[in-house]
Amino acid sequence: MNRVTQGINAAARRVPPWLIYAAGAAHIVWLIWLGQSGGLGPEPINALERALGETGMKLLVLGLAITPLMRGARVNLVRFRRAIGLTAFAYVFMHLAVWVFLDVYILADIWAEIVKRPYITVGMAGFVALVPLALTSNDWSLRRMGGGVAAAAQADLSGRGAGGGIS
Amino acid sequence: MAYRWKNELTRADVTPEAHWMSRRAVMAGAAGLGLIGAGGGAARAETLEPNSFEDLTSYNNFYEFGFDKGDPKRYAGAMTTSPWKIEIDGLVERPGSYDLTEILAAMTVEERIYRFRCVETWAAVVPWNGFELADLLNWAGVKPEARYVGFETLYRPKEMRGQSSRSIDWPYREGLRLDEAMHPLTLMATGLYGKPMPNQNGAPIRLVVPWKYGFKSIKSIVRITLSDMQPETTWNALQPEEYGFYANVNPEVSHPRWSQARERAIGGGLFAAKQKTLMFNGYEKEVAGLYEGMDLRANY
Repeated sequence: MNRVTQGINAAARRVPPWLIYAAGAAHIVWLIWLGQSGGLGPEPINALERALGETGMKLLVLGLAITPLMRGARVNLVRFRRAIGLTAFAYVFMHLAVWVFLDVYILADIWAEIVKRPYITVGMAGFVALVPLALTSNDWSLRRMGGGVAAAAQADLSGRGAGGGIS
Repeated sequence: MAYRWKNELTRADVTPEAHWMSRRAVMAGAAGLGLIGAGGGAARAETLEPNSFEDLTSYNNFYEFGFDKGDPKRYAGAMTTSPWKIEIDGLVERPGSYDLTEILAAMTVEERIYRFRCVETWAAVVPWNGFELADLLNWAGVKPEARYVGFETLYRPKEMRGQSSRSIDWPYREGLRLDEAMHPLTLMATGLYGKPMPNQNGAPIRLVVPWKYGFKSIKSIVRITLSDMQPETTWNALQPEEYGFYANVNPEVSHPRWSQARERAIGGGLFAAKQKTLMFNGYEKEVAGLYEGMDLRANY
């Protein structure tokens, strides 16, 4: 392990994971406030939707990078993995909520868009796939399901599971 | 001929005089164009309140300066707009490269408050200042065999940073059928809110075709070409399935990636509701005749 890696790992041990939840929540509130106060321009709904979606996507990629970083470069950020994953889910959830409640908001249109537009179908499928992961990420679920099942489910996302079914 | 199109009622009819200067509210009558008094159906009387100057000048699509809606405001200041020449060529009686001041001296500038509908589903109401394109074309003299008008935007990568991106085949080009170009609603706009056209909105002179999606209303025009063949237009060449030559606002014909049935007025904040998009953007009475017998689904 070189000095840079050691430095990162040492610094990471001093940062409590709850900071990630707090920063994410504060940022989301800040974005909504900006949208409401004109800081996102004359068309804030679209701007807010994009900002939430893009940040969620980036965090998702970051969360997925943690295991390969650990294996390949010995950079240990594993203790942040759940916080990053759940914060990513919060952004994605808010992105969907803005789309449903502020952007489209007409029930028949929501369904029509999900069915008709491939990029929305994919986004919706992605969200549905994230829900069980978010729901089973708490300690209680992990304990109750037993290491094997929960780990396999979570591993499916991060690509660790070989072939990855919950079996 | 200036003043060929009028809102049915004046601002003074809607709002007490003390208010109308500030609110700039007008009634957008569907009548006008000699339809007044033709005895036809009830004119639609709807209050049109223009968006603020700030909204209209900070939320723009002008890819010559970048893809972000805020880029034109940020970077369009680099564009030199004076002196400005417009090349008028092709099937015209008096082709030439004309100085904009010479053209303006021959034109009558008036205010036109139009709805504006972007193909991306956002919408605005804009108080333009300008003259009818028909006046300019008549001034240059249209040859009888001319059928179409093509337009080109300035190409000057040193001042237009977005033009260094190869994603679009610059210069931006647009076109109209001659009858569309000669229609009294078709405007060459030189200003906004009584001020000279801001650079980000297409200074010093741009086209405004209010019944078509915004991308038809080409900005910062340096060339106008009359021809007998339909000119190639930028978006149509780039994505023919998504952007047609006509690009008339039509709530019935979806863009492949989104519905065009509704639109959202900019400036309404986080909880702005969408409104129904009107056929030909609300100018159906004025322009539907241009497309009689045409399949608008095929000619989108």
